[in-house]
Amino acid sequence: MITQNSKLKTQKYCCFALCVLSITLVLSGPVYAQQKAEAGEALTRGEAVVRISATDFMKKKIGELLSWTIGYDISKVSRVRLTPTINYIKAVPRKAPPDGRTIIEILASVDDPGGLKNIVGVRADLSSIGRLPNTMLVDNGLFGDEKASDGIYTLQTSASPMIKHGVKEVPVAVANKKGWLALAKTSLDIRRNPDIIGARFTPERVRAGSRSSVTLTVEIDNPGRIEDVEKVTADLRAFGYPDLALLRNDGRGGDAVAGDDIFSVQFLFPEFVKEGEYSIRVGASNLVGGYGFTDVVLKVYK
Amino acid sequence: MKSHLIFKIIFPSLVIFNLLFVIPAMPVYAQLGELGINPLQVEIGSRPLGMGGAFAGLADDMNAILYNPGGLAWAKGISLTLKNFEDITAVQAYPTGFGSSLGLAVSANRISDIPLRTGTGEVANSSSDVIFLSYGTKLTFIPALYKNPFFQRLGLGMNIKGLMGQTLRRTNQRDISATGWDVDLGVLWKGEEWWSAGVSLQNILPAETLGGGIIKWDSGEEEGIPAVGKLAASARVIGDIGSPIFMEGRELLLAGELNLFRSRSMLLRLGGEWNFGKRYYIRTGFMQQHKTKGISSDINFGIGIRLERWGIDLASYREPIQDQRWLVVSFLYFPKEWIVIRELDIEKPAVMIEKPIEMISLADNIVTYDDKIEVFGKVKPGVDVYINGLRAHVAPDNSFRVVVPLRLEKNLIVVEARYNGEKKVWKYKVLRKARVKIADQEKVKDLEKKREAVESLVTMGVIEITPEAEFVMEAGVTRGELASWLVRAAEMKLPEVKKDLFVDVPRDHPLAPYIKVVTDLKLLRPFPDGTFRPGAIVSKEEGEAIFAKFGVAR
Repeated sequence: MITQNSKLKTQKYCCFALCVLSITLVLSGPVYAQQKAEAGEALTRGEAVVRISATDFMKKKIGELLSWTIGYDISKVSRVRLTPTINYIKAVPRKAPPDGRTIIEILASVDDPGGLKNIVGVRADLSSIGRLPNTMLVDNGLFGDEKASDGIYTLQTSASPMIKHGVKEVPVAVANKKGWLALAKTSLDIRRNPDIIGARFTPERVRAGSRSSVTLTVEIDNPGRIEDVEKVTADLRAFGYPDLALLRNDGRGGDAVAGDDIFSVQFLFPEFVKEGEYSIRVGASNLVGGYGFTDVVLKVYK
Repeated sequence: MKSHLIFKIIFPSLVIFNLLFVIPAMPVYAQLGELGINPLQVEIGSRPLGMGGAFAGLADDMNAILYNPGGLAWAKGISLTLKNFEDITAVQAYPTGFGSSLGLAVSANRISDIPLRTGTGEVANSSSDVIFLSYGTKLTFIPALYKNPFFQRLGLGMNIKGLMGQTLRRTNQRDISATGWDVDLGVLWKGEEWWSAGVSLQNILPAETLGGGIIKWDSGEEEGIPAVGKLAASARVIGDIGSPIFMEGRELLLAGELNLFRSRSMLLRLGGEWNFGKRYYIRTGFMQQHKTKGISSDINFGIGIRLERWGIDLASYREPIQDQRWLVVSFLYFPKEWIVIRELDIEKPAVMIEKPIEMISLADNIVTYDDKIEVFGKVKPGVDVYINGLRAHVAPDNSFRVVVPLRLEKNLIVVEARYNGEKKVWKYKVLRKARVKIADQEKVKDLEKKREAVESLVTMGVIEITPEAEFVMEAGVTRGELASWLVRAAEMKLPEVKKDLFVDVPRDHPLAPYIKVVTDLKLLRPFPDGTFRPGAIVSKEEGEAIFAKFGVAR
């Protein structure tokens, strides 16, 4: 019994001693390694790199990296934005006559991933309006450009008298210093005749026999500038006026605002006009010889 | 918008055309009809036969004349096909420029020993000679349509076919001969670079129109010519850039079609073509054909080889009337000088690198340290250049020069020259490696080997080093560094660290996830004092033990 107990105790001590030894060895491993490293037996970075490269998985990966037949697929095509950006292009005015003198401004707001300094040139193809196919826009604060280096490039031109009427496309190209190109286009409506886009009498109905004041207002869309409208007339002969009435745009005589695109005339409605619907022709002519007209109805009731 | 046009206008028009003309032209079968022979439906050519005859939706070579003349606009070359020395077909497609081609085909066809009545030993022998005059176009010769991309994708074609001599010899019956002519129409729509669809209407001339649409026997009898309507499509499902599945140097084409008849059963045809480097071709297909009674369904096989100007195709298929398997061979010739418009005949643009470190095997397989590359060249007037899908500025002297950024590892640069809907594509493979400055290179043994290794690891992101920093090769590697390199190299998943790992490795330590992985895997052990010491140097012995676990001996 005593012998058995002592054996058990011995076994316990042995187990404990072994455990302590194991734990000590395990825990002291890094300490020992550190001591070795400090003693000059360090694993160098070069050695570590070579060893990592020698692992099976890295050998495979390096083989794939250097292979010209594996991995060159569509995902390896760079999708980085390198081209300049054209924020907008506009032509002012959008409608212009082919007279060779009405100024048309082409404005292009551009940007570039490398900044505005990376823009090497902005060019417009004006061949559709009878001008040069490779005309440069500027951002230098001159030649119609409002502000230098603001990213808005400007070009002043005019439509050649030789071109036909119609909508013309003006492509604009922006190139940057790294050789990339962006393209966009704007359109210009080249025509000669002014459009009468609105005409109305105020009041719209007049009682027969009344001597009331009537105002005719006409809205004009003139290709080019509104100042180039030569005259706007109304044929009021049905109301007893012997000549064509001239509409005004000077802010007087029934015209509300001077210089806008609305022309007006105020006249006294005569008593002798009988009831009915009177169609009055309104015409507008401009300095380039264009002419447009429309009919507007005044209702006369009892 | 325009792509809908084809479905809204063209296809319905063809269907209506089919109903108006094809169906009334359906024949009353007689001499040849009883035998199942249609002398004006010539289906030959080793490539189409190798693909089970499913060629009307592909129609991208001279065989388009026989299957769908709509594809003739894209075809060029000469083919001579021999089934035996009596069955010979020659086909030629000649581009005339502006997206149009003229076609000419001559076919001599012999079918012998066709059993007439079972057990009697009576047989029939048929021989026919057919000539095709074809024209295929993309309509871009019309100035208004010249630059329209829609019409660059649409091919229309027409065949006028003459049966120059049809002879029928039957046991115990008088030999008879016949002549006749008919017309085919075809449309091919190339929806994208990788797929196309086609409609081919064969023998559509209404009977007796201008004396055609019918076979006239010398015995005075007349026999209708069966019309066929083919609805077909094809797709390059595996191939170069632009295909749904990218695989360089390999292509898989799949094609299928339905052949529609009025008085006979519909036929299904399916085919595939696999090519290696556009040089070696393997084909197979499922082909249904009408035989004297019923339908023959067979699997066809084919192989082919293409050189720059020459090619040979072989195909095995079953002739349904004789119920006999045949091997046909086609000899192909693609004359280079048959290019009428040479706008896209442009040399591959040059690629310039400022500091090339090496050129491997091919001129366009480039290894560089630079983070950009210059691509430059010169094109013909009117040609637009796109690089990686972005448009390059072409100077007034037609030259271009762009700078393409490169990312570490592999880069593919795609250069396209486009001219009126046509395009030519070149690819450049560029490997950008990380440049690593070695601080102590005079002390390092096997410098080049180690430099190469460290550059590869930096390129792959295993070692992170800023471009300006120098790599000290002979310095001891720290425990933290080694932990991060091992984990990145083995692509082990980084865990989320929710609590401090060790006294000196709090949870927000930049190396905490790496240290957690290596300590969990017992690759590196902590110190007894509860620290990990990421900045401590790893001993050689410890390193050997770690790499031994990865199977790397000293």
